Amino acid sequence: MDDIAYKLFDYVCKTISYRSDNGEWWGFPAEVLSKRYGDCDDSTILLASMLRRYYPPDRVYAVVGSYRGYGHMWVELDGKILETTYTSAHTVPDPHNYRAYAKFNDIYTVELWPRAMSRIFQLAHNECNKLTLMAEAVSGR
Amino acid sequence: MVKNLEWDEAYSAVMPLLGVVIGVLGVSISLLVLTRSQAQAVGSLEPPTGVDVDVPKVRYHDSQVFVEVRNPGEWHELREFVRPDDPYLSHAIMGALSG
Repeated sequence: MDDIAYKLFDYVCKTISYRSDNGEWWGFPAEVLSKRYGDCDDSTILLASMLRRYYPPDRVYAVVGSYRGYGHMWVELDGKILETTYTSAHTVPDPHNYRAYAKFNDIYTVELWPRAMSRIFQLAHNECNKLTLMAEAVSGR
Repeated sequence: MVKNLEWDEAYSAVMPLLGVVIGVLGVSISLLVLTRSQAQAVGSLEPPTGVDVDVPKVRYHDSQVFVEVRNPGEWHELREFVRPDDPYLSHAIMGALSG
């Protein structure tokens, strides 16, 4: 990851504090910047929008998928996972636990199999459990 | 003895008919199952356009994916969410890169 990507990633991690939605709500970048809080979809959409200013659309995606069975979103840059719910920019220790269903940016939408997006909202939704599992992965437990 | 003979005749008359009925039912059920599985296979390759698919939050139309992830009835095409040209981003990007 180059310096620009790292700085933007770190900025989003540090500026957008995590707060889960009551129900499903995807914020637009300006809304998320204004609120300065959001969940995985909000911070993912914001970082993907920022990165797209510097990287072509075949390199940066907002990814919709699952983390250990829980519905989740993250950014993909050159195939690498950028986890925006972290409190600072660092490498994901368990990329094998991330399963992409679909990815998109302002130009492309890619479903990894037909109708993959229609399965997203059927995934388990428990932000507390999901974040606990992520924290355990980061701490190496 | 007479009763046993009558029973045997009745049995012989009914059994072929019963066999035909079971056969027709079996073929009908097989055809029904085959038709349903083919419909599902076709559907998975080419989702119906403009129709709810499995869950109400996602719709497909003209190869585009629409999601209802804000207010009820507010549908957005996926790509609308990533907005690199949003002027509001500029200030944040300047702050991020200078920090």
